[in-house]
Formats: sequence, structure tokens, C-alpha cells
Amino acid sequence: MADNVNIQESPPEVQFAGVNRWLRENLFSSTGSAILTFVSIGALIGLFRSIIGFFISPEREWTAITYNLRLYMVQAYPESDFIRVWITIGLVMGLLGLTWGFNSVNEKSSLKSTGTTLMKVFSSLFLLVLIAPTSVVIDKVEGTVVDVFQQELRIYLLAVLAGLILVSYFIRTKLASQEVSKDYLNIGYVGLLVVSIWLIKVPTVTFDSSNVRIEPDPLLPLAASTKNPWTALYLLLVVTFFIGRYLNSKNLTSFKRILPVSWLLTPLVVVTWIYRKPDFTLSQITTLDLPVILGFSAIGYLVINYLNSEKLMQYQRYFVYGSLIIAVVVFSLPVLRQLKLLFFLLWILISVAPTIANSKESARSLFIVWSVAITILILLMRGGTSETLIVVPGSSIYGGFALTWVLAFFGIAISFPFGVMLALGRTSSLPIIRIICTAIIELVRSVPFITWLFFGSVMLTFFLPAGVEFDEVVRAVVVTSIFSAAYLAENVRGGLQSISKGQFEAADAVGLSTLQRISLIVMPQALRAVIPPIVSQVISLFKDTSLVAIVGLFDLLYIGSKVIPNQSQGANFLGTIQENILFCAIFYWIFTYSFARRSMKIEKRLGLGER
Amino acid sequence: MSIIQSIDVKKWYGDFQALKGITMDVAEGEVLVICGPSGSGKSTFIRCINRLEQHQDGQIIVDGIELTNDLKNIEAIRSEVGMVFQSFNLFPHLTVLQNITLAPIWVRKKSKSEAEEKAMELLERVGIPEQADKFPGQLSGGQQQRVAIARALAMEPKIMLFDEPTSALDPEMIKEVLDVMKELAQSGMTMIVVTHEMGFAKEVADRVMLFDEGQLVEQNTPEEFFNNPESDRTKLFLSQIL
Ligand SMILES: Nc1ncnc2c1ncn2[C@@H]1O[C@H](COP(=O)(O)OP(=O)(O)OP(=O)(O)O)[C@@H](O)[C@H]1O
Ligand SMILES: [Mg+2]
Repeated sequence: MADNVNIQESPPEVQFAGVNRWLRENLFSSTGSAILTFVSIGALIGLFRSIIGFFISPEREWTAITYNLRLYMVQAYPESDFIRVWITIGLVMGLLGLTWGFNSVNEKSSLKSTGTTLMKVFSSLFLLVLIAPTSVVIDKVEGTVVDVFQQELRIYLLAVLAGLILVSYFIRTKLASQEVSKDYLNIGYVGLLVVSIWLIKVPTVTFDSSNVRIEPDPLLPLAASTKNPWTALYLLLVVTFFIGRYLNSKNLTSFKRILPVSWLLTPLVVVTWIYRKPDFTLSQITTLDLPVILGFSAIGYLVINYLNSEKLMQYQRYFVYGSLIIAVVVFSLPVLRQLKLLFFLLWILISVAPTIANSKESARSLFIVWSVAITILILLMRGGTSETLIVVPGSSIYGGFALTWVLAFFGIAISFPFGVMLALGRTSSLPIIRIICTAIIELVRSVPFITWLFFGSVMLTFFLPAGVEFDEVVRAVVVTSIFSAAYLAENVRGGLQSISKGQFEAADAVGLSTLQRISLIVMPQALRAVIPPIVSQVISLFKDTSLVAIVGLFDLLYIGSKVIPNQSQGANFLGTIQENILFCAIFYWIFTYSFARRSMKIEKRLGLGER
Repeated sequence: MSIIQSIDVKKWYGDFQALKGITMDVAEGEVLVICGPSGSGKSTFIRCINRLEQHQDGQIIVDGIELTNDLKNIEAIRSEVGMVFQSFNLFPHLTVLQNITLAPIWVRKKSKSEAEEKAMELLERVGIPEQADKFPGQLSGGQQQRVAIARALAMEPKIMLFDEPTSALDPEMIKEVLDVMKELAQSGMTMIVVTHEMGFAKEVADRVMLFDEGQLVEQNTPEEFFNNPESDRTKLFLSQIL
């Protein structure tokens, strides 16, 4: 019987047809393309030879970078306070591990792709070693040639790399069907990084007792002074990863809400703990903070559990307006800053609680979140408002990569909600809000970023009430985030426009409220549609932070281009501009490229199953 | 006892009058089919019933609640009136199951498990329980429309509105959607259906109406409407489509 209609055929496998065929089809398909192939291969080899030659030439003072790594990272932050930086990074690491473990989906990946990646990496290195020049010309006029790369070393390196290529080929072919957990693989990769800061040794500058530079430069591990903390942090990450996974297996739903809230709070921890010396006294905490915390927890409990009852529901809007008025009044009174903030938070709680706390379960977790959040906030503000700033030489305690990072991180974190709100405002049907938002966006966009930086630096104080002063860094953060919010708003607005009217109507027709419609239907789709422009905006924000040098801040690039090439005390690095600029470029590249890669993956995952 | 009452409802788009005074009512459990030429105001009228459009004159009373600008009333009405659109309008970023449970969870405040149980029941009823975890984009048009019906039913509405639910579908898919609608009509749901499927009207409807140029031209039982049309306009319309 020819009745086998129901047999499912599997799709034909795409097979690699062999190197020969690939070469023929892609590189030598015609005489023209063959010529082009030869020429460009020749040009590439020449280019890479000279680049490698540049790197390994004895003229290069790479010690300018290894010696100044700390300057690059944290500039003048006092060494005695480093422990607080490490604690803060530790907190973030712990949170990262928890989040990672908690959200781990136990994805498996075949060793084949790992093997392929490794093979690509090792083969590229092999090629680079193969074409590296043996000698370079160091004096263009005299034409002095020096040997920089001994043949024995080259052969030794080639042998090692060839071995590694063979190993990864073996993984790729023999162990291809083996599956490993992606999480373990990633832990392994980070572990490799940590191992490498112990093993990879670079020349550094040292001085003898009379402050004379000892030659030749000794070889020390890449992160000589920070390898211990980094290792500890790595272990912390691994441990919290497993804790997070354990908690996930226990199905703790409230933890799901605590995690994002903790992430929202981390910037505050960073500020209060790195920026200031918090001085806690027990009496302050017991007589002031504790009562405030308990009081507001109790109010929060009432709001969460009783505001959504039938009877009070109809007065909801009066509660919202009433609490807003109270918050504004309290804000203008001379009371503790903590109270000012808490009343605003209470207003927000009152506005959202009836919608969020729609079941017993969610009411309980909202209450936990509320109490934990205000406790942390109050303690943070206690730390943050203490007046003992760390005193450092120079205009600001932030500098170097720490500054770049702080500007980028806060710029993005603040501009995101702000930009989304501006976009919603600009598309709002209320004319006043629409006009205000449009005006803000157009005003901010039409003036150059640098102008705004100057504005923040020299003119902002005129617009603030007397006595209120912001640090230069804070001003730069404010300017950066407002500037990027305006651009973000336009990107998000593009996303909003891509959503059909039918989506709005369907959301209305099933009875969603305006807030629910925006947060559940419109925004998720709008943001998904504009991931690529948002990613490129984040990348350009990260790079544009280097412009703050113009208002006197010492960012990574400024240190590389101006500070280190002018160092003449201690070690002499006068004129080492090429090395430093190259280092900065590579540094920026590593960060932006890995960010771009990551977002590509996220995009792929979100795009799955859509349309 | 009529569940929907419409008294002299008028509606303008700018200067253009789309509804020129519609007076009618729908009894509980009745299946009403509205037909009429393109641009005659059919969609406009049924969209006024759950206030996706606002009428400017006259009164619409749904289940004893008059439709005004009061937000509370609108929300109350919308959770009692389900709507199925010509272009499905499923939420593309949510799975089929999430599409159906969204409103029960957020509007009706049901627990997730309860909502999902109900959703699976409804998917069973419209005949596609196996598609629960797919995204709308992975379904055929007919399947999507059935999900849309399930989504509307999940709110346990008293009234269902259908705006040309089959006109974006291929012929072979029309039947599967109509079957679901027939089953729904037999279960006693109050339904207003804008459609050109005259077979459906003959078989299921309790009453058929003809709209033309914003006016209600004729209404009658299906037998009378198709066999003995009163007005010339109806005769012309029927001769064009049958
Ligand atoms: N948003 C709008 N703005 C302006 N005019 C509109 C709008 N919506 C509908 N109209 C007009 O109102 C009239 C009635 O439209 P409606 O969509 O109700 O027709 P319909 O009977 O549903 O037609 P069809 O069978 O083509 O769907 C049409 O002439 C249309 O051009
Ligand atoms: Mg229509």
C-alpha cells in the first residue's frame, strides 16, 4: 500500500563541501576575483606585519600602561579606601551571581561550537605569529634595523598554538555530540580570565630605595596588586550563582521581585559607599531610622491590603491626589530628607498598589519589597547625607575608567525611564504634556553635547536654589542622561509608531486600563522593535563620555592622551602618546564590542517565535 | 428584556456623518447579524457599543449602564462585552496562552493558575489546545481568529461583538471559525455579528439587519429578510451578493 503519507521527513543537512570547493566558489570564482583575492591577501599580510611590528618594536614603552594601570582605572582614589570599592564591587558581583543563577535556564550547548570558537581563536593567533616580522626599522632616517622576534621563539609559539589547534579540532570532531551546560562553560571562561591575570606576566617599572628605576623592567602578573581581590570576587560569583540556582529550584516568587529592586538600588550603594564615608551611629539608627522604617512599613501594609477593597476603590483617585499633595507639602517643609523621599514613594505606592496587589500572594510580596526597599533606602541615605566626603587631590575623586563607567552606567540607567516617559509624553493626547515633552526633546537635541556639558559645569548653579551645589561628576551625569534621554525618546517613539492601532483597540476591548495597556502591550512591543537603535545609542553614549574631559574631568581617554604622556617624575613616560591612545582604543573596543555581541544574542532570543 | 438599547445614535467623523440615528435593541441571548455595503457604518456602530468609538448624539445602554465619558462605566462595559476583530489583533509578543490569560489576570484579578485552567478549557472549546505555547505569528489565520475568540470569551462576557471575523481568511479556514461561532450561538450567548456570510445568517441568526449610508434600512427574521425583503435597497443589496 502506498499509504505512507504521514511519514515526517527531516530537513536535509547542510554539509560543508570541503575547503577546495569553498575556495573555488568564494574566492576564485573568476579571473577578476582571483586577482582581487591575491592582492587583498597580500595587502592584509603587509598591514598586519606592520601593526605587529609596531606593537613589538623596542621603541614602544608599554610599561607606560602597566605602570599606570591604577591611574587608568581609578585615578586618584585614595588607596586606603580601596576596600570600600572592593566591597561595592563584591555586592554587585554577588547580586550578579544570584540573578544569573536564579534566571538560569540550564541551557545546553554542544562542544562542537565551543571547539569551533577555540579553533578560530587559535588559528588566528597562529597566523599572526606566522606573519610577525623578525626585525623592525626603528630609525626612519638612518634605517637602523633591530631584531625583535627570534626564530626560536616563533617556532616555539607556533608549535604550542598548533598543539592547541589540534586539541580544539579534537573537541570539535570527537566530542562534538557531548553537551555541556552553558552556565558552566561561562563560569569556565571567566575562570580562565582570572587564571590569566595570575599567569600572564608583563614588564613593569620598579624603583630601588633611592627612587631610581631598576632596569631591566621585571615581569609581574598582569594585575599584580589586584589579583587577590579579583580571585575572591570570582569565587563569590560562583558561590552566589549556585545559591541563586538553589533558590530558583525552591520556587521563591518573592525573590523574583526582590532581585530587580536590588538592582535598582545598587547605584545608590555605589554612590554612598564609594563616594562618601558613611558614619553610622547606633543611636541615630534606633531613635530615628528604625521608627521611620516601621511606621512606613505599617502604612505600606495598610495601603497594600486595604486600598483595593470595594469600598475604598471608588475613592482611589482622591487618595492618589491627596498623597501627592501631602508629598509636595512635606517636600517644601524643613524636615529630614528621608521623609521627603518616603512621602513621594508612598504616593507612587498608593497609585500602583491596587493594580499590582491583585491577589493575596502578590500583596504579600509587594509588602516585602516595600519594606525591604525603604529599609535599604533609609540606611543608604543615612550614609549618603553624612558630610564626610573623601578628600583627594585633583578636582574630583572619580577619574579614569571608574569615571567613564559611572557616567555611562548612570547615564543609561537614568536616561532610560526618563526617555521612555518623554516618548510617551510626546505621543500623549494631553496637549500640555505633549508640548512640554516635545519642547524638552527638541531643545536638548538641537544644542551640541559639549555645550550642554559647559552649561552643566558653569551655568547650572544659577538655576539651582542657593546653597545647593553639585559635584562636577554629578553635573556631568545629569547632563549626559538628559541628553541621551532626548535621543532615546525619539527612538522609543519610533517604536511606538510601529504599533498598529489594532493593538490599542484589542487592549481596550479586553478591558485593560491605560497604564496596563502601555506597560503590558505597547511598551514591550515598542522597545523590542527599537533594540538596534537603542543599542547603538548606548554604545555611542559610552564613547561620548570621553567628552567630559572638556569640563575638567579626568576620564580614561584624557588620562591616556594628556596625563601619562606628560609624566616625568618617577618613571619617565614623556611622549608615550601612541601606546596610550592604542590602549584606550582597545579598551573602548573590548567593552563596546562585547556589549554589541551580547545585545545581538538578546535580540535573537527575543525575536524567536515572533512573526 | 433587552440587553443592548440604542436610541437615535448619531456619529460624525469631522463633517462626515457615519451614523444617522440608529434606534434598535438586542434581547438577551439573541444572535443579530448586521450586513450592508462597504462604508455603511456597520463597524462604526458596533464599535460604539464598547466605546472604541464615541457616539456624539443619542443613547447607548448596555446591560443597564449608559455609555458616557465616565471611565468607570466604560471599564465596566468593556469587561462585559467581548470583541473579535477582522484582523485578529492578537498580541504578537505573548504566547497564545498568555494572550488569553492576560485580561483575566490583570482585569478580573484571577490567579494565574485559575486563569490558565480556564484558558485551556476555552482552547479546547475552539479546538486548538495543542497550540497553547506557540506565538500568534506561528498560527494560521483561522487558528489566530479562534484564539481571538477564546481571548474574548476568557473575560466571561455577556455579549460578543464580531466585526467581519472571517473576511481576512481563506475559504477553507472560514468554516472552522464559523463552526466555533455557531457553537457559541447555540450556547445562548448574545451576539452581534457583522458579516457577509449569508449562509451563517440564514442558519444561526435570530434577526438580520441591513445598514446603508449610516441608517438602519431594514430588520427582520432571516426567512423574511432573504425571501421577502421589504425595501428596494435590501432587494438591490441581496441581488448583488447572493
Ligand atoms: N476614523 C475615521 N475617520 C474618518 N472617517 C471614517 C473613520 N472610520 C470610518 N470612517 C468613515 O465612516 C464610514 C463608515 O465606516 P465603517 O467602517 O463603519 O463602514 P463599514 O460598514 O464597516 O464598511 P466595511 O464593510 O468596508 O467594513 C465610511 O464612509 C468611512 O469612510
Ligand atoms: Mg467594517
